[in-house]
Order: sequence, then structure tokens, then C-alpha cells
Amino acid sequence: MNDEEERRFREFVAARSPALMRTATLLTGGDTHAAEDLLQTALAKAVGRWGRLDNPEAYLRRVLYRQQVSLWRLLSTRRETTVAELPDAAGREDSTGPAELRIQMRRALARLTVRQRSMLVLRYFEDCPEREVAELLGCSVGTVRSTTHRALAKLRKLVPELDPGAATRDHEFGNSPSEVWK
Amino acid sequence: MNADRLLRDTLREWAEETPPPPGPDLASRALLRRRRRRATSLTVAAAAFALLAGGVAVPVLAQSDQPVHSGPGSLIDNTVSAHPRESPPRHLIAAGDVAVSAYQSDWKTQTQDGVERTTYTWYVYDRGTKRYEKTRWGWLDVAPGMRQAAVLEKTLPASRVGILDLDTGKVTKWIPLARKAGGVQWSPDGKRLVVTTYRGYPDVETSARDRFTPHARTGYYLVDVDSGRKEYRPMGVDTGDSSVGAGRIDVRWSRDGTLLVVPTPPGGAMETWYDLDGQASEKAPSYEGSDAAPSGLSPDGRYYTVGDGWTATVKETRTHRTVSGSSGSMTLAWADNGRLVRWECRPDRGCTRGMGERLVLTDPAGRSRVPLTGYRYDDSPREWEPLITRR
Repeated sequence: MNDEEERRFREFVAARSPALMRTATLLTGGDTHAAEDLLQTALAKAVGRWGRLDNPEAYLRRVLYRQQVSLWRLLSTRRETTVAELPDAAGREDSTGPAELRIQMRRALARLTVRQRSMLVLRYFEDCPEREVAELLGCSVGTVRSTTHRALAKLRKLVPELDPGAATRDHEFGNSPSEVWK
Repeated sequence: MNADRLLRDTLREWAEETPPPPGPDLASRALLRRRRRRATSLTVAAAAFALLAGGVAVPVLAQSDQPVHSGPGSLIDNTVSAHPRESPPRHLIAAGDVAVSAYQSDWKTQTQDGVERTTYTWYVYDRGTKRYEKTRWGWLDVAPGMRQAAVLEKTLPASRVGILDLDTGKVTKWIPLARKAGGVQWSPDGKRLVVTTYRGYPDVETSARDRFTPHARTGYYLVDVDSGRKEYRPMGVDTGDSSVGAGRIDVRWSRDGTLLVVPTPPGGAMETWYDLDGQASEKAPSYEGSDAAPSGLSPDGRYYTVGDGWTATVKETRTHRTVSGSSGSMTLAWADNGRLVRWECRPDRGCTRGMGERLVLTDPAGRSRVPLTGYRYDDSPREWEPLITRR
């Protein structure tokens, strides 16, 4: 990397790292230290091919997602990310208000597997179509669909308020093909 | 609040609260890390050169506990044909009872009116030229025995299914279909076909439900190949919140040929099983599900594989115990009672499906590994997806 490339790299990091850090934080379930490590690893990879990247941001996002899923594979015994401390809801008396629900959702998201969470971030935060998710994460569209399905079923189990009928049903969350997100 | 909306809002709000990273430090640390890594690589290279210059014999890291020949293109023994430098393969890839009979490659995706349409090119192994040859078919499946294939013409959905003789390259029979077909699969005994029908071109993806419907699955035919007799069963696809997206959702056979699995039927289930008379059946064993490892039960029934669509593990049928060392990339087929064909990731890096992995032949415990193909992507920019068939 020559001086000019290094200058452009530093400018890029200054401009885009907040947005990339947001994605990394969601991928790590709110663990900002892990998110910073993840982003730094991706940036170190980008340095190696900086002069050849047409779209550095797209490359970095792909590395972030793939790196995170690869990390999950390496640490396959540690399937759930450390749950970050989350702020308590202000209005406890209204336990199903929107603010409380969003906090419950964060806790639930943090308890998903890395892969499940990555799918949901791509689908619901990045608005990627299924085929793009499959390409980014290196899996089939069918796997994207089934993993998303299970992730959503697990969220519904963890946040029962999402589904008023859930309390009366016998859940087999995470495995049941009949669980749907409605 | 709508659950879908709540999930989006939660993710957005969470992202917005993320503290900014230490900007200048982040760039400097990434640069430093890269320089250190480069320095380490150079040191290793220099050390290797010094060893070679000094005439010191360096043992190569073994890929297997047992000696195997895995040259640039090789017939390892009577049962294994491997080409570890070819990706996609040009020459026959086979092991034990199974072979890569065909593969898909050359993906082309076009977007029009918010609908992504992907086309594939199929390559089939030709016994005459002893190579995989490009075909003109829109979709195909090779029959067990690799003597014939069921083919659909390029413009999917097709109004007939052909039976292709793989020795002569000629279609010996056309079976007309009143409903147009997008997918086909042979039964394990090679006597019947399940042909999935679609309203429009099946390999599409869109986030707009109204644009997906004109391409959706409509049902399937069960076809007796010899007599040409066929039976049609309407079977649409779930269009609820959980299923909008990709078009192709083919009906397929269970490994023993007694059941058919219909993924995402109307009503929101992931899959429903039917017997050959069209009656809904009890759920099949866990190794048969839509997301299970394709390898399933070993021929002698001693082992079975479980997977999650990404990784797979071998278990003992009698005890349900995991075979030590068996967890890893996806298992695709049993070559015989004691060997599996599976994907294997390049060990020095993270890899994902379609990138940085190759086909290997391995024992259930993963001790012996014979490379069958080159690494996908790394050895060639062309992505490919194998079709593995009993030979």
C-alpha cells in the first residue's frame, strides 16, 4: 500500500466506520468489544487488497458477515454470544409497551446463534433479498429460509408477547417446522 | 405492534445507539496488523527457503493418516476417480458407489421489474468423451446407474419431460405435461419421476409478493417412466409472511423412495410428507428433512448424518452417539458403508459454501481424507454445484 492508498484508506475508515460498527454490533448481539475486533479484522483484510477493491464498503460488509459466521464455526461449542448488558425498561408497569418490547427483542436477539442473528440482520436491517443473503453467507436459499424461520420462531418463544396465542400452545421452538412468523 | 415492524425498529434503534469506534486508531491498528502479518509470512517463507537451500528434508503435512495418491488427475484405485486440481471438474469425479454425474455452473442473474431471474448451465458427464460436457437443458436429474437423465427444455417451465439416453445423447421419450414443469427428480429405484410444476419461470426471487405469485409452484406429477403414466397433484406454496421470496421449491423423494416431501406447503409448515398415494404421512426420520444433510443413512444403516444446512455430523444409528471427529462441512453422499463424500474447507482460512471448499472422500471420523476436486472459487472463478448420483 503506497502513501496515497493509505491516505484513502484512512479517509474511508473515518467516514464509514461508524456505519460498519453498527452492523458489527448487531452481528455480535450488542457486544461492542467483539464488534470492534470483528471490524478491525475485516479492515486488516481490506488493507491487503485496498488498491484492487472497486467497492470497499460492499467488500467489508461481506467480510464482516462471513468472518462472523466463520468465527461461529471455529467456536462451535459457544453457540450463543455473550449477552450484553441492556438498559432496563423505563415503564415497568406497561410490560408490553413498545419500548419494553424492543428491549425484550434485543435480549432475545442476543440469545440467537450467530448464524441466526446474521440472517435476521441481513434480512431485516440491511433489507437484503434471500438470494443475496445466501451469497453473502455462502449457503443455499433454502438454508436462508429455514434458518430465518427458526430464528423467528425462537424470537417468538423468547418474546411471547409477539404472539398472544403462544402461551396456550405447546412450543418446540427452534426445531418445529410448524412454527411460523405471523 | 406488527412483529415484522418491531424487529426492524429494534435493529435500527439498537444500531443507532452503537458508540462510534475509535476512528483514527481503528485505521492505524488495521494497518499495523496487516504489516505484522506480512512480516510473519515473509519470515516463514524465508525459513522455508533456508531449509530447502540447505538440503534439509521437510515432511509435508499429511492430509490423511493413510498414504493416498492424489496427483493432478488420478484414478486412485478401482473405486475412486479424483481430480484435485479441477474446479469445476472436467474429468469424472467418483468414489465407491457414487459419482458427480452432473453439475450446475455459469449462474446468470438478471433483474426486471423487481424480480431477479437466475439461469444456470448444466454440465453432464459424457462416457464417450470422458468429460463433463455443457448441455442445453434448463433442468435435469441423472437416474441412478447414470445411464439416463430426465431433462426439461431450456425455456422453463417446460411442457414436457424428456428421458435422455446418456450413452447416445438422444432423447428416447418425451412425456407431455398439461401443467408446465420446472424441476424433476428420479425416484431412488430409477423407475419413477417426481416433476414439480410452476406457474412461471421457477428460479426467481423478489420481495414483492404480487410479483412472486406468477412464478409460484402449482403442484407435482408422479410419473411412471416405462409406461408414461402420470398422476397430477395440485400443491401450491405458502404465501404467508414467512415464505415470500425465492421461486424454486421442488418436491422430492425420501431416500427410500416411499415418501415425497413437499417443502413450504400452504399453511406455513416447513414441509409436509406424503405417501405415493397422496396421503399425508407421519414425519420422516430426522435425517430426511428439508434441511438435513443430503447423505442421510449409510447403506448398511450403521450410521446416519444430521445437519443444519451448513454443517453435518455423523452419528451411530444404534446408540445415536456422535462419531468423534465427524463434525464439519456438509456431507453429501455415502460412497459405501464406511466412506462419505463431503465438502471440506481449506484449513488455513474461514470458508463458506461456494467458496474455499472442495469435495473429499473421508471415513466417518474424518481421519482419512482424499481430495476429489479442487477448491471452489480459489482454483477457478466459476462457481459450481455438484449433482451426486449412485452409479
